[in-house]
Amino acid sequence: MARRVRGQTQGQSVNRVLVLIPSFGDWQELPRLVAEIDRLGSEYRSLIIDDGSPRPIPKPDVLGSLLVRLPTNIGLGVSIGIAIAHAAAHGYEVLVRIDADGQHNVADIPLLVAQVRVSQAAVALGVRTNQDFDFARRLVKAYMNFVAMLLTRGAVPRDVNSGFFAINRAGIARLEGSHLERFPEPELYVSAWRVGARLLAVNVQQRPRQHGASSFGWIAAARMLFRFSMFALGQLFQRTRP
Amino acid sequence: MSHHLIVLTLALLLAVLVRARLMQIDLSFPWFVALAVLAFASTNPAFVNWLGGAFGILYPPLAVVFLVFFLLLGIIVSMAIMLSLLRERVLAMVKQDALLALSDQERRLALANTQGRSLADGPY
Repeated sequence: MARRVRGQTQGQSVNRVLVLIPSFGDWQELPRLVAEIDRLGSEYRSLIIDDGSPRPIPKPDVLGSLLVRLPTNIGLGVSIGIAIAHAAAHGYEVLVRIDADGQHNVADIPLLVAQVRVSQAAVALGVRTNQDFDFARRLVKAYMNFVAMLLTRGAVPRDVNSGFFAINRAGIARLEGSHLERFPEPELYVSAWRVGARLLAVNVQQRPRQHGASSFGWIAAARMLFRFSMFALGQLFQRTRP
Repeated sequence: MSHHLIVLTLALLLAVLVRARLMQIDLSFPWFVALAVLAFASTNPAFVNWLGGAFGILYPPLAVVFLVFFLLLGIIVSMAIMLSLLRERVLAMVKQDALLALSDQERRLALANTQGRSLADGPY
């Protein structure tokens, strides 16, 4: 018997929430994540962006999920930019981003989605309440949080490195075309505030990494600091927020 | 004599880069011209002495060497700008390509749904 594509009714799309899972080599958790997203309801659709993994990521066996492979490793910011542009072009109501390593709890997604639907906030940010980072990471994150708070006059929640967020349609429209590259989260949140989007914190529990290792070392930390500092410097010369 | 050698080596390096298509001819042209002018001018001791005096350099030929370094820096900066612009274009193309692929998947999903069949039934 013919099976209808998950999340769609005859002739009309009911997919309202696009869940972006950017991945570079993290493929082990993807089938579980996509299946869990599928179980959230018919309005959810997962989008995997394979950011040039050494071995192409196989398409999960879930009808209606999207997968696109970039020809080379370009950076998370470009994947997020693609997802924002796609969500805008196809009229998705909310764009959610989770990690491919299974650290974000899929069950928390509806919490974030509900916040950007019912509140005035355009961006809901999953603030990790159980962070357990080493010294280098704590230092970098503290610096970024401090600078982001200064830049946005305290409007950005205190976890600007969190990669778990939801953006509603208004936020998607405002952020479309934003220039994002590697380590894009702090820049994304500050840019969102800059274009007039309101941000909201939603407390979440981060799960331990299921597979792979963090790419965050001293060199990555230095690059991240440099990039964010340059971004922050640029923000100082921008017109004040309307 | 050493400054002549440096200018000639740099000119040769530029020529090799252009020949090997590692440097775009349009980009290298102003630097070639600058090097040619510098090489020609540095054969004149009056120019070299004037240059040394202008920069307060006690050993005038060093002024030519410093100018060569300056030109080299110019080449590096031009390359960095060019590379950045090129990278922007590549990113835009990759993004466009990905968006087209995703739109195609959306279209196929919508089509499969409209026709009331599973994606597994047809080519996807």
